[in-house]
Amino acid sequence: MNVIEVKGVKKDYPLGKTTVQALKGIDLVVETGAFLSIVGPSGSGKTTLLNIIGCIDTPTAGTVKIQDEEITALPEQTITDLRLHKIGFIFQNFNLIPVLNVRENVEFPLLLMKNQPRALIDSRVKELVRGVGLIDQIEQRPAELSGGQRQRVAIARALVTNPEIILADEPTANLDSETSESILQLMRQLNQSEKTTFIFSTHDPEVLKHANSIIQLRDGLLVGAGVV
Amino acid sequence: MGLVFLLSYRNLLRQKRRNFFLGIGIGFGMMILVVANAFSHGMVEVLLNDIVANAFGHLVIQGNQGHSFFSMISDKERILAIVQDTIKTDELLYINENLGMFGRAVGNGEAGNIMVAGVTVEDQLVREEFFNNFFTLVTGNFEDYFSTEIEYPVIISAAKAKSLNVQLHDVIKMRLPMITGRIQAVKLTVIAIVNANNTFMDVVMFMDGQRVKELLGYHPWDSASLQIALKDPQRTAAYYAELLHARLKPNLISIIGQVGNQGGQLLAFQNNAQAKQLLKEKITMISGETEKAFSQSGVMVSHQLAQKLHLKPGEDFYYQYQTKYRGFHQEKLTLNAVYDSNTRLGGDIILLNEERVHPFYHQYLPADSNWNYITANNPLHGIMATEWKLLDRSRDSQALRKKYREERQLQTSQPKLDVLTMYEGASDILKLEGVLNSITMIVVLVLFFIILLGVVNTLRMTIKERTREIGTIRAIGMQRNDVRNLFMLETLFLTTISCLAGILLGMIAIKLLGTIEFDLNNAFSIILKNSRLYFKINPTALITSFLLILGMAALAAYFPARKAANLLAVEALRHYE
Ligand SMILES: Nc1ncnc2c1ncn2[C@@H]1O[C@H](COP(=O)(O)OP(=O)(O)O)[C@@H](O)[C@H]1O
Ligand SMILES: [Mg+2]
Repeated sequence: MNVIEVKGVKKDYPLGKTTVQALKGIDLVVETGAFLSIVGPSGSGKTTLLNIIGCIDTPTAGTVKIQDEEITALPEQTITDLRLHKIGFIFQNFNLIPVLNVRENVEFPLLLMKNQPRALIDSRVKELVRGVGLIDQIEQRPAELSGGQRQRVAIARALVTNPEIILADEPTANLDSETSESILQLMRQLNQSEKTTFIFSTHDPEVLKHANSIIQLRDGLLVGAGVV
Repeated sequence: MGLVFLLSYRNLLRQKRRNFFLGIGIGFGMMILVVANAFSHGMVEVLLNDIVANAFGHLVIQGNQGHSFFSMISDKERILAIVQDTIKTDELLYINENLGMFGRAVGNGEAGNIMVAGVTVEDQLVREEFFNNFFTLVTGNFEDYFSTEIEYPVIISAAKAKSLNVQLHDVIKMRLPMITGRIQAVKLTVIAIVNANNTFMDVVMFMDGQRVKELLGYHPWDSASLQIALKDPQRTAAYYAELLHARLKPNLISIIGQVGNQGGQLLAFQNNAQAKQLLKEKITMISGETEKAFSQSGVMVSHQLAQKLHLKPGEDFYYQYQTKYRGFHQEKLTLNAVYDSNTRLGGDIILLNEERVHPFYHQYLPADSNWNYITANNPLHGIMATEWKLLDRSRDSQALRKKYREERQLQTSQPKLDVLTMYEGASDILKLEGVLNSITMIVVLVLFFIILLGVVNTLRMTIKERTREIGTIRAIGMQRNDVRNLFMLETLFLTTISCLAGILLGMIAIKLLGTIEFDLNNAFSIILKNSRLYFKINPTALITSFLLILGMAALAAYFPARKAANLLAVEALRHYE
């Protein structure tokens, strides 16, 4: 089954009197459970594509379907809800909430879902925090954690709602190579154990060896796809 | 929602410095508001309860006789009976007959104008309040207040004793205008020197009320005014005022008496053009001078009675009757005209212009009357003179003053009776609280306007700093309204905490300010109680201003918060400082 179908997606940004064509017509199909890597040099449109798939940005032209549902025309509130339930985000800068500790950061999306039984939240959060190896730091705030630890928290947060898709925009760009390695391994492992689709972008060839499928972007166009 | 609460609470503690200063501003404003409100409320209470209520009672019945400057009710007993019958015993505290007199006093080489308050302390409650709470004794003995050995015992304040240069047992000479218009010289003996708890009382000397009444020339059966103290004046004063007003409706003047051995009833008609016109139409003159008969000294007799008495116009006769309090009274009358007793006003009737009657009627109240002789359906009922004029109730002090001014312009010797409560008598004072509160409110609102600019500014800065965070939570799936509420709640938390702190500080400030003793001897001292500022917190006003400030804060926070909520997640995520 296809979890994502992207058809003829274009994205233009106005830039002064001209426009920048960030995406020039993308067609893409992602199967459920994939561990897909989007590679391409800086400025090739990776972030733009991920944002459109993640429903936080809209294409100038083309359509995006998530689980066969066309999302580009949905009202704002519904899209927000869709993000909450179906998509998890991992950011290059981790983007944890500084005033919340590890546990609170991870349970944050579950609390947004409302009416979740407290016991369920607690067990799910514990399970995930243990899974990312931070059970001892569960009461610590982000400022007390290292970069790698923070990204682990972000991964746990992205996974906590059991989303269909996790989108990670250059998740290891701010980490050293050793930590990057372990983060990718963790993501791969969760991809398999949780059966969640992962899409991550990178411009680091080192990262590629972890992907099971790769698409390549150049100047807003797909230039090749393949399986490693 | 719990999440939104948690986040805004945690975020509030994040920018400690910034929020701390803003909080101090809000708290300080609230503190000023608390102190100012409590001050004006306290001041009004001092004025109202300690001065107005003590001097005038909660409910007052007062009257005056024609043009006289002195207040006077001519039949105290009758009015008292009505009062006691109207007000439930368990709601009545006491009825006083206090009165004051003004005059020039001379002490030992020093002189000054002074007011002597006549305070009757027969009632145990009044006595205790008067001697224990009104003042503190410096020297002397309160028991002498009642002494019959001493000529006119007075209590005087230390301040006034100093200004008149008198000591305990010294004599103060005073020249008093009496109600009769005579001036009387009296010697007052100082039996106690006191410190009044309220400086307003410093300028007054106190003497037993009954003695003052006598000195001024009141009869024992008159009263200057009746001051009624109620248990729960706020609830019952206006109600009883209306009730008393309804029950104090005057009767038509009627005296049962005789001329020689011949019985005759004396009635009076109103001295106004309309009444006289109607009367002229309803009765027929048989002999005499109509013009004179309707003048201010007009006297008419029915044909039936004139025949029995062999009385002709121009002749004098003596009308006698039993009075209520002073034996027989004999009034010499000159007959002006005889009217046909078959028309209206039949019987043995002597009919007078009210202006001829009032001067002796209230001096010599009749023992026997037939108030129902002229029934309400008699067309003449509306033009017959009444015992007194019951003044309409007034809404507030302004209306009261207007009413009295208008009454003074009416040239009539008809006595007046008025029922008023201290709330309308002193409505200016109540208004004062409103005015003072408005002034403080304006000042504080300006202050808060400045503070709220601070709120907006702080919130803008905060939102700018947290742009990427907003992008993150929006991407994760928080709805716009929740983001808006997040920032509004943060502001409201800060406002609430600061206001509560301000209220607490205000209360502390009130306690501290209330301990300072002032040694004032000027007009400002009227607001002091026991030489100290008196504060009283008005919870309603406090809650109102708190809610107002909270509302203002919410309004100020709304627009920046909405702007934050409307940020696009993509753009917010791209934001780097
Ligand atoms: N908000 C924007 N406004 C204008 N141009 C943009 C904006 N976002 C991205 N771009 C442009 O679109 C192109 C693609 O950018 P992006 O998707 O961020 O690429 P990548 O993530 O691969 O580095 C770039 O040329 C970039 O300058
Ligand atoms: Mg990028």
